[in-house]
Amino acid sequence: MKNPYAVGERVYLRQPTAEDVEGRWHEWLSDEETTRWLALHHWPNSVEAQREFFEASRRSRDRLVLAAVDRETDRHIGVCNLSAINWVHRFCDVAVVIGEPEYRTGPYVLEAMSLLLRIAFMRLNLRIVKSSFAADNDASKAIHEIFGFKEVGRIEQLFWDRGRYVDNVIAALSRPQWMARNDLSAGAEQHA
Amino acid sequence: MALDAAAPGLPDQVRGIVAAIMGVGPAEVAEDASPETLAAWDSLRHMKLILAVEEAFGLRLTDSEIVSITDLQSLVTLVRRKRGGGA
Repeated sequence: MKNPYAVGERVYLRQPTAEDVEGRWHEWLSDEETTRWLALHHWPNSVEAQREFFEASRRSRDRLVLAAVDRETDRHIGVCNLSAINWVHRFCDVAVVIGEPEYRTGPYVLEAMSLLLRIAFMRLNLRIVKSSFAADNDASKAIHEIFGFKEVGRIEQLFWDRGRYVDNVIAALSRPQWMARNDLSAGAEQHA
Repeated sequence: MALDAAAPGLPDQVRGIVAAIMGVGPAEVAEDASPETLAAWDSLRHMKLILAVEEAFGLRLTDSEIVSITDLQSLVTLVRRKRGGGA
Protein backbone atom coordinates (compact mmCIF):
# COMPACT_ATOMS: atom_id res chain seq x y z
CA MET A 1 0.00 0.00 0.00
CA LYS A 2 1.17 3.51 -0.78
CA ASN A 3 0.24 6.32 1.58
CA PRO A 4 -2.96 4.67 2.88
CA TYR A 5 -5.52 7.01 4.46
CA ALA A 6 -8.19 4.40 5.25
CA VAL A 7 -7.76 0.67 4.92
CA GLY A 8 -10.32 -2.08 4.36
CA GLU A 9 -10.04 -5.79 3.65
CA ARG A 10 -9.85 -5.42 -0.13
CA VAL A 11 -9.74 -1.69 -0.77
CA TYR A 12 -7.78 1.18 0.65
CA LEU A 13 -8.26 4.90 0.13
CA ARG A 14 -5.39 7.30 -0.37
CA GLN A 15 -4.71 10.75 -1.72
CA PRO A 16 -4.73 10.71 -5.53
CA THR A 17 -1.39 11.17 -7.23
CA ALA A 18 -0.20 12.71 -10.48
CA GLU A 19 0.26 9.14 -11.74
CA ASP A 20 -3.44 8.49 -11.19
CA VAL A 21 -4.25 11.51 -13.32
CA GLU A 22 -2.11 10.21 -16.16
CA GLY A 23 -3.80 6.79 -15.88
CA ARG A 24 -7.38 5.81 -16.67
CA TRP A 25 -9.15 8.14 -14.19
CA HIS A 26 -10.13 10.67 -16.87
CA GLU A 27 -11.38 7.88 -19.14
CA TRP A 28 -13.83 6.62 -16.51
CA LEU A 29 -15.50 10.03 -16.57
CA SER A 30 -15.94 9.92 -20.32
CA ASP A 31 -17.39 6.40 -20.37
CA GLU A 32 -21.12 6.36 -21.14
CA GLU A 33 -22.03 3.59 -18.69
CA THR A 34 -19.92 4.95 -15.85
CA THR A 35 -21.34 8.45 -16.20
CA ARG A 36 -24.92 7.44 -17.04
CA TRP A 37 -26.25 8.37 -13.61
CA LEU A 38 -23.83 11.16 -12.74
CA ALA A 39 -25.30 14.67 -12.71
CA LEU A 40 -22.14 16.00 -14.36
CA HIS A 41 -19.64 14.53 -16.79
CA HIS A 42 -21.81 14.34 -19.88
CA TRP A 43 -19.12 16.24 -21.79
CA PRO A 44 -16.05 14.26 -22.85
CA ASN A 45 -13.40 14.31 -20.13
CA SER A 46 -9.70 14.75 -20.83
CA VAL A 47 -6.43 14.25 -19.03
CA GLU A 48 -6.01 18.05 -19.00
CA ALA A 49 -9.38 18.54 -17.31
CA GLN A 50 -8.55 15.78 -14.85
CA ARG A 51 -5.24 17.49 -14.07
CA GLU A 52 -7.07 20.74 -13.31
CA PHE A 53 -9.54 18.94 -11.04
CA PHE A 54 -6.69 17.14 -9.28
CA GLU A 55 -4.79 20.37 -8.61
CA ALA A 56 -7.92 22.18 -7.42
CA SER A 57 -9.09 19.34 -5.17
CA ARG A 58 -5.63 18.93 -3.66
CA ARG A 59 -5.80 22.51 -2.34
CA SER A 60 -9.46 22.34 -1.35
CA ARG A 61 -10.67 21.95 2.21
CA ASP A 62 -14.33 21.72 1.25
CA ARG A 63 -13.79 18.64 -0.89
CA LEU A 64 -12.00 15.42 0.01
CA VAL A 65 -11.10 13.35 -3.05
CA LEU A 66 -9.60 9.92 -2.44
CA ALA A 67 -8.39 7.24 -4.80
CA ALA A 68 -9.88 3.78 -4.23
CA VAL A 69 -7.15 1.19 -4.64
CA ASP A 70 -7.27 -2.61 -4.79
CA ARG A 71 -5.04 -3.83 -1.94
CA GLU A 72 -3.99 -6.99 -3.74
CA THR A 73 -2.71 -5.36 -6.91
CA ASP A 74 -2.29 -1.74 -5.77
CA ARG A 75 -4.35 -0.79 -8.81
CA HIS A 76 -6.30 2.47 -8.86
CA ILE A 77 -9.88 1.28 -9.40
CA GLY A 78 -12.10 4.22 -8.53
CA VAL A 79 -12.60 7.55 -6.86
CA CYS A 80 -14.37 8.54 -3.65
CA ASN A 81 -15.58 11.99 -2.85
CA LEU A 82 -16.81 13.94 0.14
CA SER A 83 -17.80 17.23 -1.47
CA ALA A 84 -19.49 20.50 -0.54
CA ILE A 85 -18.20 20.03 3.00
CA ASN A 86 -19.77 22.68 5.21
CA TRP A 87 -17.57 23.20 8.27
CA VAL A 88 -20.14 25.38 10.07
CA HIS A 89 -23.14 23.09 9.80
CA ARG A 90 -20.92 20.03 9.41
CA PHE A 91 -22.50 18.24 6.47
CA CYS A 92 -21.26 17.05 3.10
CA ASP A 93 -22.23 15.15 -0.05
CA VAL A 94 -20.89 11.68 -0.78
CA ALA A 95 -20.06 9.86 -4.01
CA VAL A 96 -18.23 6.67 -4.94
CA VAL A 97 -17.34 5.73 -8.50
CA ILE A 98 -15.71 2.38 -9.27
CA GLY A 99 -14.24 3.04 -12.68
CA GLU A 100 -12.64 -0.29 -13.52
CA PRO A 101 -15.44 -2.61 -14.72
CA GLU A 102 -14.01 -5.83 -13.29
CA TYR A 103 -14.16 -4.35 -9.78
CA ARG A 104 -17.86 -3.52 -10.04
CA THR A 105 -18.79 -7.07 -9.08
CA GLY A 106 -18.69 -8.05 -5.46
CA PRO A 107 -18.09 -5.92 -2.42
CA TYR A 108 -15.57 -3.29 -3.58
CA VAL A 109 -18.06 -0.43 -3.81
CA LEU A 110 -19.56 -1.39 -0.45
CA GLU A 111 -16.18 -1.34 1.23
CA ALA A 112 -15.26 2.00 -0.34
CA MET A 113 -18.54 3.52 0.87
CA SER A 114 -18.05 2.03 4.34
CA LEU A 115 -14.57 3.56 4.61
CA LEU A 116 -15.82 6.90 3.35
CA LEU A 117 -18.67 7.10 5.87
CA ARG A 118 -16.26 6.29 8.71
CA ILE A 119 -13.98 9.10 7.53
CA ALA A 120 -16.88 11.55 7.35
CA PHE A 121 -18.31 10.81 10.78
CA MET A 122 -15.29 9.75 12.84
CA ARG A 123 -12.30 11.58 11.36
CA LEU A 124 -13.80 14.76 9.97
CA ASN A 125 -16.47 15.06 12.66
CA LEU A 126 -19.24 15.66 10.16
CA ARG A 127 -22.87 15.30 11.32
CA ILE A 128 -24.81 14.56 8.18
CA VAL A 129 -23.82 12.94 4.91
CA LYS A 130 -26.15 13.79 2.03
CA SER A 131 -26.52 12.23 -1.35
CA SER A 132 -28.75 12.37 -4.37
CA PHE A 133 -29.34 9.90 -7.14
CA ALA A 134 -31.70 9.13 -9.99
CA ALA A 135 -34.72 7.15 -8.82
CA ASP A 136 -34.19 4.59 -11.59
CA ASN A 137 -30.58 3.94 -10.57
CA ASP A 138 -31.09 0.61 -8.82
CA ALA A 139 -27.48 0.31 -7.70
CA SER A 140 -27.46 3.72 -6.00
CA LYS A 141 -30.83 3.05 -4.43
CA ALA A 142 -29.58 -0.27 -3.01
CA ILE A 143 -26.27 1.02 -1.64
CA HIS A 144 -27.94 3.94 0.14
CA GLU A 145 -30.53 1.61 1.64
CA ILE A 146 -27.85 -0.84 2.79
CA PHE A 147 -25.96 1.89 4.65
CA GLY A 148 -29.09 3.29 6.25
CA PHE A 149 -29.65 6.48 4.26
CA LYS A 150 -33.22 7.78 4.45
CA GLU A 151 -35.01 9.44 1.57
CA VAL A 152 -35.66 13.01 2.69
CA GLY A 153 -36.90 14.51 -0.53
CA ARG A 154 -37.44 14.09 -4.20
CA ILE A 155 -37.34 16.39 -7.20
CA GLU A 156 -39.63 15.07 -9.86
CA GLN A 157 -38.24 14.51 -13.35
CA LEU A 158 -34.92 16.27 -12.76
CA PHE A 159 -32.58 13.93 -14.66
CA TRP A 160 -32.61 13.17 -18.38
CA ASP A 161 -31.89 9.51 -19.01
CA ARG A 162 -32.01 7.92 -22.44
CA GLY A 163 -35.18 9.50 -23.70
CA ARG A 164 -37.07 10.37 -20.54
CA TYR A 165 -36.86 12.39 -17.36
CA VAL A 166 -36.52 10.58 -14.04
CA ASP A 167 -36.91 11.73 -10.43
CA ASN A 168 -33.95 12.79 -8.29
CA VAL A 169 -33.97 11.21 -4.82
CA ILE A 170 -32.34 13.19 -2.01
CA ALA A 171 -31.09 10.99 0.84
CA ALA A 172 -29.32 11.67 4.12
CA LEU A 173 -27.58 9.76 6.88
CA SER A 174 -26.85 11.35 10.25
CA ARG A 175 -24.02 10.40 12.55
CA PRO A 176 -26.41 9.16 15.30
CA GLN A 177 -28.16 6.95 12.74
CA TRP A 178 -24.82 5.62 11.49
CA MET A 179 -23.51 5.00 15.01
CA ALA A 180 -26.70 3.23 16.10
CA ARG A 181 -26.61 0.95 13.08
CA ASN A 182 -22.99 0.10 13.84
CA ASP A 183 -23.64 -0.48 17.54
CA LEU A 184 -21.37 2.40 18.51
CA SER A 185 -21.99 4.68 21.45
CA ALA A 186 -21.15 8.39 21.38
CA GLY A 187 -17.42 8.88 21.65
CA ALA A 188 -16.67 5.26 20.85
CA GLU A 189 -13.27 4.71 19.31
CA GLN A 190 -13.81 1.12 18.27
CA HIS A 191 -14.11 0.27 14.62
CA ALA A 192 -17.55 -0.42 13.18
CA MET B 1 -42.54 -12.91 9.07
CA ALA B 2 -38.80 -13.39 9.56
CA LEU B 3 -37.25 -16.76 8.73
CA ASP B 4 -35.88 -18.88 11.59
CA ALA B 5 -32.10 -18.75 11.31
CA ALA B 6 -31.65 -21.35 14.08
CA ALA B 7 -33.52 -23.93 12.06
CA PRO B 8 -31.44 -26.78 10.66
CA GLY B 9 -32.34 -25.73 7.13
CA LEU B 10 -30.69 -22.33 7.39
CA PRO B 11 -28.18 -22.92 4.56
CA ASP B 12 -31.04 -23.97 2.29
CA GLN B 13 -33.06 -20.92 3.29
CA VAL B 14 -30.16 -18.63 2.45
CA ARG B 15 -29.47 -20.56 -0.75
CA GLY B 16 -33.11 -20.05 -1.72
CA ILE B 17 -32.77 -16.30 -1.27
CA VAL B 18 -29.54 -16.28 -3.29
CA ALA B 19 -31.27 -18.22 -6.08
CA ALA B 20 -34.26 -15.87 -6.11
CA ILE B 21 -32.10 -12.74 -6.25
CA MET B 22 -29.74 -14.17 -8.89
CA GLY B 23 -32.66 -15.42 -10.97
CA VAL B 24 -31.44 -19.02 -11.06
CA GLY B 25 -32.73 -22.31 -9.70
CA PRO B 26 -31.63 -23.39 -6.19
CA ALA B 27 -29.76 -26.33 -7.70
CA GLU B 28 -27.53 -23.88 -9.56
CA VAL B 29 -26.39 -22.31 -6.29
CA ALA B 30 -23.54 -24.53 -5.13
CA GLU B 31 -22.19 -24.55 -1.57
CA ASP B 32 -19.21 -22.51 -2.76
CA ALA B 33 -21.35 -20.03 -4.72
CA SER B 34 -19.78 -16.59 -5.03
CA PRO B 35 -19.47 -13.75 -7.56
CA GLU B 36 -16.57 -15.71 -9.04
CA THR B 37 -18.54 -18.93 -9.57
CA LEU B 38 -22.03 -17.64 -10.37
CA ALA B 39 -22.20 -15.43 -13.46
CA ALA B 40 -25.42 -13.72 -12.37
CA TRP B 41 -23.85 -12.57 -9.06
CA ASP B 42 -23.00 -9.00 -10.05
CA SER B 43 -22.62 -5.91 -7.92
CA LEU B 44 -26.28 -4.89 -8.08
CA ARG B 45 -27.54 -8.36 -7.20
CA HIS B 46 -24.94 -8.56 -4.42
CA MET B 47 -26.50 -5.46 -2.85
CA LYS B 48 -30.04 -6.68 -3.40
CA LEU B 49 -29.05 -9.96 -1.75
CA ILE B 50 -27.88 -8.16 1.37
CA LEU B 51 -31.17 -6.24 1.58
CA ALA B 52 -33.21 -9.39 0.99
CA VAL B 53 -31.39 -11.31 3.73
CA GLU B 54 -31.80 -8.45 6.19
CA GLU B 55 -35.51 -8.41 5.50
CA ALA B 56 -36.01 -12.17 5.45
CA PHE B 57 -34.27 -12.76 8.79
CA GLY B 58 -35.16 -9.46 10.44
CA LEU B 59 -31.49 -8.44 10.71
CA ARG B 60 -29.69 -5.11 10.83
CA LEU B 61 -26.11 -5.44 9.67
CA THR B 62 -23.21 -3.22 10.64
CA ASP B 63 -20.85 -1.80 8.02
CA SER B 64 -18.17 -4.38 8.82
CA GLU B 65 -20.70 -7.21 8.55
CA ILE B 66 -21.92 -5.85 5.22
CA VAL B 67 -18.42 -5.87 3.73
CA SER B 68 -17.68 -9.33 5.18
CA ILE B 69 -20.23 -10.90 2.83
CA THR B 70 -18.27 -12.31 -0.09
CA ASP B 71 -20.04 -15.58 -0.92
CA LEU B 72 -22.78 -17.98 0.17
CA GLN B 73 -20.76 -19.47 3.02
CA SER B 74 -19.89 -16.11 4.57
CA LEU B 75 -23.54 -15.13 4.31
CA VAL B 76 -24.78 -18.30 6.04
CA THR B 77 -22.17 -17.92 8.78
CA LEU B 78 -23.12 -14.28 9.35
CA VAL B 79 -26.86 -14.96 9.51
CA ARG B 80 -26.32 -17.85 11.92
CA ARG B 81 -24.13 -15.73 14.20
CA LYS B 82 -26.50 -12.76 14.12
CA ARG B 83 -29.40 -14.98 15.10
CA GLY B 84 -27.42 -16.50 17.97
CA GLY B 85 -26.80 -19.81 16.28
CA GLY B 86 -23.02 -19.80 16.75
CA ALA B 87 -20.36 -19.95 14.05
